[in-house]
Amino acid sequence: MIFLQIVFDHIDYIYSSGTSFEKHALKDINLKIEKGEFIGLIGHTGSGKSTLIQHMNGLIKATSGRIYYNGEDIYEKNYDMRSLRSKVGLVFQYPEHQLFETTVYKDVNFGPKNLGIDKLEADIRTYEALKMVGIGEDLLDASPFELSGGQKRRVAIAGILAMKPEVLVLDEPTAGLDPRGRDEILDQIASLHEESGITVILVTHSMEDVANYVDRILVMNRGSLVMDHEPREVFSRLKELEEIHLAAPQVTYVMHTLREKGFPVNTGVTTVDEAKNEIIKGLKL
Amino acid sequence: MIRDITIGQYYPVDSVLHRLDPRLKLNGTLLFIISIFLFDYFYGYIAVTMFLVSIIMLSRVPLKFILRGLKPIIIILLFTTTFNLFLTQGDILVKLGFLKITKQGLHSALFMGLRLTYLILGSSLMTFTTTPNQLTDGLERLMWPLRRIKVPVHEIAMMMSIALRFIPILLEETDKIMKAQMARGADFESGGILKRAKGLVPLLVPLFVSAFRRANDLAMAMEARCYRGGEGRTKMKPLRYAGRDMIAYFILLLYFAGIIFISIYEKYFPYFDFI
Repeated sequence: MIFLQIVFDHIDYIYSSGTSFEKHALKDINLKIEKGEFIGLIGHTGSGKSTLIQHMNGLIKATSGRIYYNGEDIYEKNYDMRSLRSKVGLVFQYPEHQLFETTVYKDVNFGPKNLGIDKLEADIRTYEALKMVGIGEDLLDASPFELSGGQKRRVAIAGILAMKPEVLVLDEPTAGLDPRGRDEILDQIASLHEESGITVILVTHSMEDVANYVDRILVMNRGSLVMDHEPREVFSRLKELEEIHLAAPQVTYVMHTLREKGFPVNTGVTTVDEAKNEIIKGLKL
Repeated sequence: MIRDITIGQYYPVDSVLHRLDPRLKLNGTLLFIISIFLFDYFYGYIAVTMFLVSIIMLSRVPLKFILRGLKPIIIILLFTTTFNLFLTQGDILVKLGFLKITKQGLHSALFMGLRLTYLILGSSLMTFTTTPNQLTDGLERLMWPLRRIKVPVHEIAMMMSIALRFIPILLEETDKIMKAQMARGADFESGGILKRAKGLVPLLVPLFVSAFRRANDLAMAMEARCYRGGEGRTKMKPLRYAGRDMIAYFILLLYFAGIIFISIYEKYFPYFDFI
């Protein structure tokens, strides 16, 4: 049975309305997200990705339209917004900029402590979250400001994970990291998704990231949702993507070029592994 | 919420006021502020109001937007007017228990309220129509003679423009960190004063860290481009007075002379002495 977790019903968002700064940031967004999905959200800078995800946990209130979480209208008067924020964990861009405590442990503990659960449970969650992101015991009492960039980011992500969200939304979690740090974080997110069945929404600029990990891609352009398909389908529409200043993964381009030169390969390939198999198949023919 | 603060913000539309030289606008604002403290009677009040209304109309900034700038001073405004109203000694008009309203109190409360309002409206009109860069350019030029007495004019202007430039950045940063901490269950709204002050720690620490980081980056970027202060530095767009600025100066002088005339006239012939 499919279980609709988040539903956007005709969401519009306009900010600074009535002044010359007015901007129509989201236009008629309709969206259904099922429990356990791994979704990639892509779009050019300023296309409304960040605005969209901030609606999911009620940090921004839509100008018009309704949002349902687990079938409940979150704009209902008596809806518990704070519990929604703990259920939809939102990791902001450069989350390491929000670290503030004196030790790594205390910082990750901040979220669960705010939930009002008992201390023991909060402590267990903190340890679990730190383990999930691969922060070792030796760093528990270090100041978060002494860590490396990649470590800081993982601590910040652990701060959200410790709240045990049902949906994890990450806004460009790999921005500014080196390739190794990037792979580590994405692998950890992917295995978390697999093990706990948590819904993951990944906002990113990197087409490789989405092609490698997600099962469904949402494409935003100027505040509208223009595509909502699985990766293969999205990346086969190269022309449309390029028109809105996006691109397909590099391997897809390689395959297109090979095809043009007369090499018999399937151009619908989106990951390096698939490409390898296709080329071997082509060579055997 | 943070977007509601309109004081000191630039409002980008094209109007005569926007095109005027910033030096003129600075001088004009100063003159206007002096003028609102010159009148003490009814006629002066009419003249100043008419001048302010026409300037607001010329600026093409929506009235709603301008009035929003008054929001942060509403409490100060209420305080001063109430205190003036009830605590001034003089001829009693109304008596409510131990509170009494005097003729002089009513007069000073009314004019104090008006002056504060006009002060804010007038000076915010300058920032609405002048970009921060123009403003500091204008200030730098106006203060240039002070270099003779060893005032570091260029440095002051540079610091001012950097400070102004950082206001929107830090506001945005505050907004972002606030949201990030709210996503972690932080509560900035409820609780008593102590709890609220404590609740600000997760906001203030990251904000300071980021302010220092940005300052450091900026200093580095400036040094990388060989910035070394004002000595021998030229401007890409030097300020030059145009014809319209001369006309505006003329109008300003006319206005100021008018206000002085009215205030002298009223002192000797106070026809409208009822308030």
